[in-house]
Parts: sequence; structure tokens; C-alpha cells
Amino acid sequence: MNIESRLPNHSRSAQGAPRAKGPRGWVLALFLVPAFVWLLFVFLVPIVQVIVTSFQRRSLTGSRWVGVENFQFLFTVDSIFWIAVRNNFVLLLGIPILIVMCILLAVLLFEHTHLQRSSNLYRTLVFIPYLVPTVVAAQVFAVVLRADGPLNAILNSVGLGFLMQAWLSDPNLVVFSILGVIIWRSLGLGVILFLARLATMDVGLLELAVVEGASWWQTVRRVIIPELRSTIYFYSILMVITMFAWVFNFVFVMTRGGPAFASMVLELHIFNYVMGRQQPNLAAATAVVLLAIVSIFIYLQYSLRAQPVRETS
Amino acid sequence: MRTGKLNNTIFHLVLAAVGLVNLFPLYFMVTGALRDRLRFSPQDLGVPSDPHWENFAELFDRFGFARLFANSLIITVIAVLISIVVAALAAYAFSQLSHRLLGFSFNLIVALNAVPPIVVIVPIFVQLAGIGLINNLLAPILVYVGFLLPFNILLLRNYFETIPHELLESARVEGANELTVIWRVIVPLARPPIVALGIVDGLWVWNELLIAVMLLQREEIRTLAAGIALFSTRQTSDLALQLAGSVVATLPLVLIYVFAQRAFTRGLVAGAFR
Repeated sequence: MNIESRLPNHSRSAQGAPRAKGPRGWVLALFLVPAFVWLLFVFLVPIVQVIVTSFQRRSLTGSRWVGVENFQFLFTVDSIFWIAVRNNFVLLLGIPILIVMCILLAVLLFEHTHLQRSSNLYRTLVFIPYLVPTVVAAQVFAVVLRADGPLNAILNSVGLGFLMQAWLSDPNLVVFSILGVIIWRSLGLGVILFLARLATMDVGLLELAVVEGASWWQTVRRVIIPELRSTIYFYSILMVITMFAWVFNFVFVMTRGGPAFASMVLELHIFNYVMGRQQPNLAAATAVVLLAIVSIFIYLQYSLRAQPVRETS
Repeated sequence: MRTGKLNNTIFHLVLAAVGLVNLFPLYFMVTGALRDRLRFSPQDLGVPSDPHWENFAELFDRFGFARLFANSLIITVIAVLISIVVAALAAYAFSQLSHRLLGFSFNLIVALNAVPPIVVIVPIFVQLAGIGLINNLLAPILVYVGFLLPFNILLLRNYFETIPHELLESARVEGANELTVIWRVIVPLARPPIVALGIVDGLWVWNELLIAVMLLQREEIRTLAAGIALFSTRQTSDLALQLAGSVVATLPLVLIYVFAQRAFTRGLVAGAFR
């Protein structure tokens, strides 16, 4: 299946057949109704409500409009908010590392499949962390990374005792430790994605590179990476969204945002405002900020991609 | 590509290292789950000589893990089923109709994939609380169906578009109405992506924490994911038990993978967005 047909708004139906019109069209339109209604109530209405709530403040006499007061509070008074923002952006730093590691592993596995058939074991090994539920991964690592835990014990026993750290209780390290766990878990999916893309690659290109005497590194740089561009693009969008919107599980289970808010992230901040501090307006305001940040990133990445790229697969 | 002894060694070394790093936490989880609860030390790295299998029994007897498991299972199966059905209907319509409004709404649906759940869960929570649906299994099911829709619709529509029009036409000529066309032509043809979706969606719902924690607040009604996450607040020192809980939550997924490996990886490739 070629890439173009996987992009949204592919407005021809299969093989250019005419679209449905007339009575059949109405029946089909009916099929859209359940989905539309559901999406309305789960996404559209709540988003509008969140935006509205963020401009209000609830009191004993009901809600009143306070303009941008909530946002002002977040930006000027709420220091935890800025810690959360900073941490989310720090998590983004892990994405290039993740991509590089995924590509390297995928290339290695691809080469090996090409040569021998025994790579299934390795592929499973690489993929296993993704099977583990995020809460489980978080919970196990919460123990593994304890100052008195197995990681430090292993480091010590192999003579690397000077590398021992308070992985989760050192405020300077904790975000990076959490990032490490996220990478641990996300690696498998990325490798599978890149592998799948490599599998559809024209092997002739690789053979040509060998014939031309290209080194391994040159082959990777000039043949493989261009082939992987669209996958890299999709994967990086996915990971950007993840680092803003899907890290709650890790932070909540491993540190609850601690020590002393050092590992706070925007999701957890919103959660705390709602569940702990009973401040739905500030929660809404933070949520609006989060939504805005994610939207900006998506938009940026989408427009960076705007140059039409000819994909063959 | 390039063969050669050196490359081969590097390959094995790197992948063995990766394998070790990936497996160690799981090894630790399983061995830790079997240790003596009272004398648990996080530094123990060896295989326990006297595995305490009763830790697992403890989970089910005293902490109601069977209940949590059942809750998660019910929610996951029902939510995924409904979501795929609703999405398939809509995807079929999208693939057969063409109208500027539809194109716009489809793009909007695709964009919804990027909405962080935390953003919408707050007002949803307030609404559901108002109707009194908190602590009811129906609540997360309704929410999960909605959340799975953008991705399901995107994937299914793209797949449906590749189905040759002639097949649908010939069915219609034989007097089939739209529903029959879907049921008898599209669904059998679309089995791979549907299965893949089922797996990806199922994984996502099983793993999901935020919505589950907010919508199900009484202990008996919680999901497995929530149970494990909150376990650590109640039993901070009983690490063996916590790890045992984690084993219980992971085992089904590992088993499913072992038995359905190909469908799994195919599903995950399709599940690029989750």
C-alpha cells in the first residue's frame, strides 16, 4: 500500500469509483452518527468546557468570569507549574536518543534477519518491555532504582560503585531516571516500526551500496535513513505527544511528582489540582496550556513536513 | 548486507546487552514476587530458593485481585468491541462518501488523536459525577470507546479505501443493504486490521491509569492498573506483594503475545500512534 493512500483526506474512493449519492448517501451518513455523537461528548464538549472553565472561578455563589486571572496565577505565582513545564520539555530531550537507538537496533536486526533466521529471539527480547503495562514497568523500576535497590547493588558489585546514585530521590536526577524508564519501555515499539519499514525497502539499494564499497556508516547515512524518513517523522510526533500527554502513569507510580515536586509534570499537576486541591479552574487553565503546547508542536511538525515528499514503498 | 565475523560479534554483543537490560526488570519482578514478604531486601538478586507461591494467593484472598482482574477484563473487552463497531460504521461511511464537510471532519477526527486525556477527563468527570455514574463500570467504558474512536476510524477508513469497489457493487446488485455489505464483504476482508486494532486497543485500555483512577474510586470497582498503582501507597513496605501484583497484571499480556505473536507485532505496527 503506498504512503499517499495512508494520509488523511484521500478523497478518491478505491479505484476512482464514483462516490455514493442519493438515498444510499443518507443511509451511510446515518452510520456516522454514533461516532460523531460519541466524539462530541468525549472530546468536543469537554474541550469547550475546559476552555470556558479556565476563564472562570468557582465560589460558593457559583462561577464567575475572571478573565485571564487563572492564567496569570499559573504563570506568575505557581512555581510548580513552571517546574512541570520544564520537566515535560526535558523529557523531549529523550526523543532524539530514542530515535537513534531505535534506528541502530532496527538496522542491526534487519541485517541479521537478512543473513540468518535466528533473529526471532532477539526481536522478542527487544520488544518485551512494550508488553509490560506502563504501571508495572513504573512499579518495578520504582523498586529497582531505589537507593538501596538492585541497580545500585549491581553497580557496586562490578566495581562501578562510584556510579551509584539516589536515582529517584535526587531532585537533579529524578526526571532523567523517569525518562530512562520511558525509553526502556518505548524502545520496542520504535524498533518494530522501523524494522517494518526497512522490510519494505528495496534491497537492491543496499546491494548497490555494497558494490560501490560503501562503509557501514555510509550505507546507514545515505541509504537507510532517507528510507526511514517518514517513519522517523511519525514516530517523533508520536513521542512528542507521549512526553506531554502519556507520562502520567510513570510519574504517578514512581514518584508522585516528588521529591518535593522535582519530577512534576503537567498531567500530574492538573490531576493534583482536581483531585487534591479541589481547584477545577486552575486545573482547567493548566489543561488549556497543555492543549495549546501540544497543538503548537503538532502544527510545527506538520508544517515542517509540508514539502511534498515522494514516497515509494 | 555486510557480513563478517566482526559485525556478527558486535551484533550479538549489542543485542545480548539490550536483551539483558530488557529482561532484568522482569526477572527482578518475578523473583521478587516469590520472596519472603517479611524479609524482602531489594538487594537480593538471586533466584529465591524457597519460592513463596502463597504471595499470589494472598493477592487474591486478601486484596481482591480477582475482582480487579475481572473489572479490567470486562471494561477492556466491552469498550474495545463497541469502539471497533462504531468506528467501522463511521469508517465505512467515510470511505464511501465524499463531501467537503466530511473531509474536514475526518481531518478533525485525526487531530483528536493528539488530545491529552487529562484535558478532557476533568469536565467528563464533573458531568459523570453529576449523573451519578462515578464508580460505575459503565463510565470508563463510555469514555474509552470515545477515546479509541479517532485512532480506530483513521485506521479502518484507510484500510476500507483499499477494498475494490466492484466487490461492494456486486453485493449491492444482489440486493444487499449497506449493513449486509459491511457484514459479509468488508468485515471478512478487513480481518487483519480489525484484529490488530483489537489488540492495540485492548493493550491501551488494559494499561490505562488516569481515567481509571478518576472514574473508579471505590476499591472493589477499580481496574488492575489502578490497583497496582495505588497498591504502593497502602503497602509501601510490602514490596514482594507489589511485585506479585505486577506479575499478575503482566502475565496475560505475555501469554497472549506468545500465542499470537504475529498478529501482535502486526498490530503494533498498525498501532504506531499508541
